[in-house]
Amino acid sequence: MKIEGVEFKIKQRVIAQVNDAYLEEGKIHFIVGKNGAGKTSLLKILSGLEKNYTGDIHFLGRNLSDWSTEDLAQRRAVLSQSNFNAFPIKVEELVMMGRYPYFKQNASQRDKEIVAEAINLFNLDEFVGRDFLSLSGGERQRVLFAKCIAQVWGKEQHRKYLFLDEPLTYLDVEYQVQFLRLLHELIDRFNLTVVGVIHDINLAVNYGENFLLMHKGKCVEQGSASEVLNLENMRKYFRVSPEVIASRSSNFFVF
Amino acid sequence: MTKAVWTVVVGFLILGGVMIMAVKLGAVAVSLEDILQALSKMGSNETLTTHEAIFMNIRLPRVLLTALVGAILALGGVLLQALFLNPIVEPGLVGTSSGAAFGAALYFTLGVNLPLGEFGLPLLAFLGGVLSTTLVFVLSQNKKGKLAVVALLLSGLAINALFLSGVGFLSYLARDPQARSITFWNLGTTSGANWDNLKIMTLAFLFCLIVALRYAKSLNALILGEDEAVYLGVNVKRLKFIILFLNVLMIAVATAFTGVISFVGLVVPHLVRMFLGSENKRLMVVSTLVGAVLLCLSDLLSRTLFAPAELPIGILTTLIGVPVFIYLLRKNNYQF
Repeated sequence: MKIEGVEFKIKQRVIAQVNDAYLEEGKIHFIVGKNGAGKTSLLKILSGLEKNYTGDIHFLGRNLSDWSTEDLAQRRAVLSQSNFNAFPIKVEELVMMGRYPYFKQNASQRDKEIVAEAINLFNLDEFVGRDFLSLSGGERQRVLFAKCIAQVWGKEQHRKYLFLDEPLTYLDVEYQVQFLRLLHELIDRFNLTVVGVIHDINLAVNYGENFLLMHKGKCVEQGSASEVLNLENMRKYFRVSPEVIASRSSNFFVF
Repeated sequence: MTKAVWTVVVGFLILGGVMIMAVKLGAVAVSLEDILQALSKMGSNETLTTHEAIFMNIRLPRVLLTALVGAILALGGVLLQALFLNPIVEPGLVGTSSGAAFGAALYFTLGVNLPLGEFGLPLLAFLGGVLSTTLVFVLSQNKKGKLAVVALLLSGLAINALFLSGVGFLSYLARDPQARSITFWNLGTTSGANWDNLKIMTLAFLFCLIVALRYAKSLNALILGEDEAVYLGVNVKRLKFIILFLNVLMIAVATAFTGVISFVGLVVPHLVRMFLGSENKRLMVVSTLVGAVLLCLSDLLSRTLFAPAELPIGILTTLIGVPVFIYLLRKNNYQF
């Protein structure tokens, strides 16, 4: 995915701007920055939801704005911070929605198998038949993630993207770590590229491979963990001076 | 799947039973023999006896029309609730009925002189319903083009008030027999059923049901919110347009022939959702059946309670619907 001179404004105010960035396929990319820095807006642009931007985004061989809603749904899934509570919906019905882009009226046997496997992958079997709204925040997050994985399931076809908007919200530490490990596994298994917004700097450093640092609506830094999330940038853009502890793989910040 | 199939089969059996009962009972009792005789004479030139004629020309079209209207109102409720992600939206709330009532009042006071023939009333009611509903939907769109429930309820309130005061004004102007027609029509009645309006209503219903079923999946995705639906490949703009169009079409047609019948579109989808969940295909099919059954029963009651006098069916559905509605409202703490 290549981003060229992308700018998104609301009433003359720059909400998200990226001059030039390249997101290599098969890697985990994290968008980091303070609250209100434009992280989620950028994710909405990259995932094809927000279309009122200027500039070019090349997505899987085509300009992103040339993709139809229907085609795009077969090439990327989005774990968003959605909040819905109008109607009861069963866990397995929700996960099946991930397969909606692939059938017209009735789900195929393969779609049903994928849903069952996705449910199993996230240890959700005990929740089958339960109303999604009766689950806890963390359980809901796992169900929504299973839905996204069902949507990008299958290596045989094409490379697919997974967009994550603060995927670790509501998750216990155990599930946070499990989630990120699973993410690594799935990237290889399904040929995925992950683009995520993440708040926890230490988890980001530990699991991400490329970073976009947003500040006041603009992408100010891009690169590896040591290039983007170093002490200097922490001071400059996050206004904190953490203690840095070096471990064998990366640096840890103690705030 | 099998559970859903059984529900539909049982639903059809109950509907069949209720319809047979509704055809037989009334100011004049029609026996099963009369029914079979009348049916056997179909297509031939043999004259019908009085009872057979009552069945063939009055009871049967009325029961069929009632079932269709019940199905249409319930389907309209399912569609609007799914579109607005809100379980207390119904066709009456979005102005269709009041607009249609205004069109009807216009016909009763002025339109009788227009060269519109017997379709003058349904035509004007239909146009009124389309006009008022369009106004409500245009007013309830916010700047981003998203449909907001609160805006919808408030615009619905305003437009309903506007058109109902129009109805009031026309009733005030009207002379006595016309004013009575307006009143009676506003309370809802299926007594005007005949084979011609049955044909139109059947076409409208089948068209809307078939198209709606094709979009059931997209409406399911909408349960997760508009953004999520886009992520799942749903063209939300087109979906909204189609669903609103279907809704205006069939509700305006139904209201045009039978007047204002409230609460069916609200209560039926609600009840069905409580037992079968929110999957929209199931919800549509089962709700249409339940709506048809309930309205047939209401019509039967309205014809027989004070026979030979007739209670307007709209009064009955409201009397039953309001307590159910209040119960549901208090039972499930709704958030807007």
